[in-house]
Amino acid sequence: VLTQRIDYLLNMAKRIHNRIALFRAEAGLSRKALAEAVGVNPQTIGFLERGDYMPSLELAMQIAARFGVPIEVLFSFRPFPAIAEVLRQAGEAA
Amino acid sequence: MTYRANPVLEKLDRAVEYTGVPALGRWSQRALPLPFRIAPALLIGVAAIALVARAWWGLSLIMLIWSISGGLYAFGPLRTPPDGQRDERERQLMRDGHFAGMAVTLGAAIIGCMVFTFGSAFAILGWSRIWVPSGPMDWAMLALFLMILEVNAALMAGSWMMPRRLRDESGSDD
Repeated sequence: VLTQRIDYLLNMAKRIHNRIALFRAEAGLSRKALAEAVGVNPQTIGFLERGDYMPSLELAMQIAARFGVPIEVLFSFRPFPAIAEVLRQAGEAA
Repeated sequence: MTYRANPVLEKLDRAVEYTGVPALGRWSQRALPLPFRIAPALLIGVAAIALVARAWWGLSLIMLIWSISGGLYAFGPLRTPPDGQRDERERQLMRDGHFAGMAVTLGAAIIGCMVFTFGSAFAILGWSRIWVPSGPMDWAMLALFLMILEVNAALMAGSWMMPRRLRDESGSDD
């Protein structure tokens, strides 16, 4: 909790949620491959996926471009719904 | 390499991994959190003692601590990667770590100047004997102490700001 507090004070930023791990798994990419594609360390991709690092706009746009999706599909201020929940809702709608 | 078939070898393998040395060899571990928080604090403490001791060994000890700090920095979270290229997260960590180091050093310099001011004034009045740098050697030691403070405070801050380790440091998993 203290670390989170200090991190918040240092960054003064809203938490940004992302779906990088999901898109990466779907594309069959390793962390290393994605890292090489966007020019960062594989650890940075790991920290990004875990939400421990907030990317710059440039990096966020590069990752979104790599997956061919708009940036807001990959990043959001609100937590993304679980896939199971999305599928259930889609099933109910159909 | 991890042994999975032999339980004894697997345990030995885990024990060696726990030391962090194999990870350092792979250059995948960006921080050994505990050593890089405790060791800089110890170095700053010993340097402060050497500074105020005013003994003949003070300058030698401070120079030795400066060398150790350099070695510690080379293995710490703010070190330069083997290819010399830091990505944006590593550059941010570097900036934030040194910002913290500079802030601590600035604070120490301001407090030190105030202490020296009052120390000199009280010494004239004969009220106290607070240590005040007087000769070139004292000032040289003080300069080295401030350098040690900056580097070690930056190391501690960098280690503090590093996220917890990833389960797979190699980054090659899915």
